[in-house]
Amino acid sequence: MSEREDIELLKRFEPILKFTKGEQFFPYNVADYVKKSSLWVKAPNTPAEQLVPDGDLNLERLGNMKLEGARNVHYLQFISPMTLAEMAEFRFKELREAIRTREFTPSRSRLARVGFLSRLIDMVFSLVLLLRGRVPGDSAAAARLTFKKMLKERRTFQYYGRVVRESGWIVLQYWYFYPFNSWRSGFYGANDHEADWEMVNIYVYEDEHGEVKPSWVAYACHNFSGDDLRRHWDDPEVQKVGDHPIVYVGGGSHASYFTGGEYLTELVLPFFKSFTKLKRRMDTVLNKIFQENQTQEVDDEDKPQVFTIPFVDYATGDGLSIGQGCEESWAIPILIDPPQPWVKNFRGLWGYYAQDPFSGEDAPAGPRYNRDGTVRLAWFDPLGWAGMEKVIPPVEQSALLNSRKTDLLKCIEELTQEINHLQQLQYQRGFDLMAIRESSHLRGEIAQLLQDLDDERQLLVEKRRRLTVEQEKLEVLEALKLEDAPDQKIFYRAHIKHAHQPQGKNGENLGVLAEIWAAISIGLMLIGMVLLINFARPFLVYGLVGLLLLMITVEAVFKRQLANLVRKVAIFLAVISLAVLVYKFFWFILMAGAVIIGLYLIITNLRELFVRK
Amino acid sequence: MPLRKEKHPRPRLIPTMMVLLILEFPFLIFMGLNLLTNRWSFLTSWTLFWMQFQEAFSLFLKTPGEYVRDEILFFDVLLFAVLVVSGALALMAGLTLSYRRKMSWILGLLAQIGTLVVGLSLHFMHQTTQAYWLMAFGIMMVLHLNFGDIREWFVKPIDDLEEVVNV
Repeated sequence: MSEREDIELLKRFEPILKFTKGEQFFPYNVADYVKKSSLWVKAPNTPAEQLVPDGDLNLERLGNMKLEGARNVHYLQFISPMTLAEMAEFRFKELREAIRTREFTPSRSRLARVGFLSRLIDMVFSLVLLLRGRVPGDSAAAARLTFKKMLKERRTFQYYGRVVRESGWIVLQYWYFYPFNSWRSGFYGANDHEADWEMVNIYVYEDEHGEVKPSWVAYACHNFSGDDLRRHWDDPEVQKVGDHPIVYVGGGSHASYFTGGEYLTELVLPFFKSFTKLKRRMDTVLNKIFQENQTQEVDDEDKPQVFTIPFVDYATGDGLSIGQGCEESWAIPILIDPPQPWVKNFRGLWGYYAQDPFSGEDAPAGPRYNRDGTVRLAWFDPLGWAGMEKVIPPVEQSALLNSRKTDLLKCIEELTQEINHLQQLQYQRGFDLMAIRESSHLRGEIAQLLQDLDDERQLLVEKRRRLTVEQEKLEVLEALKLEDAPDQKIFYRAHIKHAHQPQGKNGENLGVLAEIWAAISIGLMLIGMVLLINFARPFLVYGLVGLLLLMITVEAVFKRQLANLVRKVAIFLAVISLAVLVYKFFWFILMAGAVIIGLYLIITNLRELFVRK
Repeated sequence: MPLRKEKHPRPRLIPTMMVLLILEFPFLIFMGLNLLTNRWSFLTSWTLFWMQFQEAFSLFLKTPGEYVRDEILFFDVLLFAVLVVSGALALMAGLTLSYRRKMSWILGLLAQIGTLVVGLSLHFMHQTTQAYWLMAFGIMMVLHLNFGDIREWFVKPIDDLEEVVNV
């Protein structure tokens, strides 16, 4: 395929990006970004050193530079620190603008959406953020200012494309480059970092007439990969305008979603994973005591995380839109496959290296690489990245179905023959056994026959079981209609394990009081603890228990979980009381139990005796 | 005439629970009074009991929180108050249980929390016999209030009734 055809293909399905109101950064061309950036290197235990100052760098130079040192981190730096006067002026203008346009207001506090424990961990995370590496506070402001100027100079919206032909699929890969990720500073999110690469994959195929048809789409969302990212083209969740799927872009984070809304993203810290396991084990025991209905086993992955930090991804789509029929349109896409030198050769970070141990505040590497310089899964395996490696292109399904049916029929035939043979053997050995069973001089032979009969019976049972399974598989395959049949749409979502769903509106009427409580509860608890230590130290234990109970009760009231709390407290006290009673009256309970069982047995046996007479 | 047919019929245990909750009121008051005098005197002589009752209160008022006759009076009075409140809650729960209000069920459970707290406190402070009667009664009531069909009958919303049907 020629480059022109690939570009046409990309344009035909290019997604529409809908941004959240208040978004400041949009997909832009990397050439202008690189021109405004400087190149730096950071070697271990030495200060960062500037290799190329801003203004002297361009894509060609970046792609052809020899960057050495396996332990060195090379990175671009987009933003130079602002002076205090510049910062103050910008903040003032920004405030005026925000009041005028009412740009972004979250509908509900993120802390009100989660439990007490998560809030406690969030407090620790906020404190840790002050200590660990982070993007400087004025970076977002400076980036906003710079990007505004860049847009003024050249108002184009750019994406980069790849067309990968693999195993019958054509993968259209759309790469979007944002100069800055302002999730933390702009939308109360987890992190800020310079540069942000995001991606959307569209999986198309050529039908028997050579016509290209779309089949699946997968949107990159934070660091997730696998089946959950993928939706069928005909899935109602995938909104489209013509052949252009709509992507709702998270405010500041630029994560992609199929539906507009507010998504609760809970950050799980690896440190707390063992605590989560312990809590789950405790829950399992408690649920048994509390007679909770658990009709089906739930995978560990499916269970809600306990020790998490809540963040909300606002992907409401009420801001700027780019694409077909929108207020802004895309520039001609730029192909990056085969990779251009800047894609292939620059393995460094595309923005400031904050030296964050969790990497959240470090800029990402380019579209081809991970931060550690290894090639991205989405680049070298675009099918496997969205769990597509097991999905056959529709055009090949019919042939595969026929081939599977033939295989199964053959397997069934072979199994039937083997079963008949084994059955004949069983008849023969059974007949022989019947004939010689009374002949004492053939005892050895009888024992051997019995052993053989037993072994072959086991084998026969196994073969018959296998035959039944294969026959059932064949029945299912024969009833199966190919993907295009309308009544098969239920299978479009069968692969999804954890679908990202926006939060419902029902939690929004918790009220202002609940939100205030969520915001102040942890602080109040800490102040209460300090007061107890200072003024009521002899009653510290009682005080702490009381304080915790008070907090839990207020929390339960706001979450409408009071009945559940009362029930659990009652059961907890009942269990403690039972343990006390058993400890105190162990022998009495044992003897009473023995007497009751004895009486029960006597009554049952006597009843049986009299009923029989 | 339109009739509303319930998906979850009233559990058979509800009338029994009502009786038990109503009876819990005098039971807890009985235990509370005995806690203050500790001689079961109100069973034999109301005059004697009343004297002891007044004596207990006056002792508490004179020496709150201090040890008197190996008892911590302040806590006894506090536990008496908890028992009275729990008894009142049990009575309210018992009288309203058949109306299928979630609040009745919660009140019933709150009464048991009070009963069990008093039972456990008495065990750890005095190890008196009545502590174990309170615990045994509380355990039995918690068990019954948490039976699957009783719990679901209260916890499932009232609008979980079938559509109005005409007969």
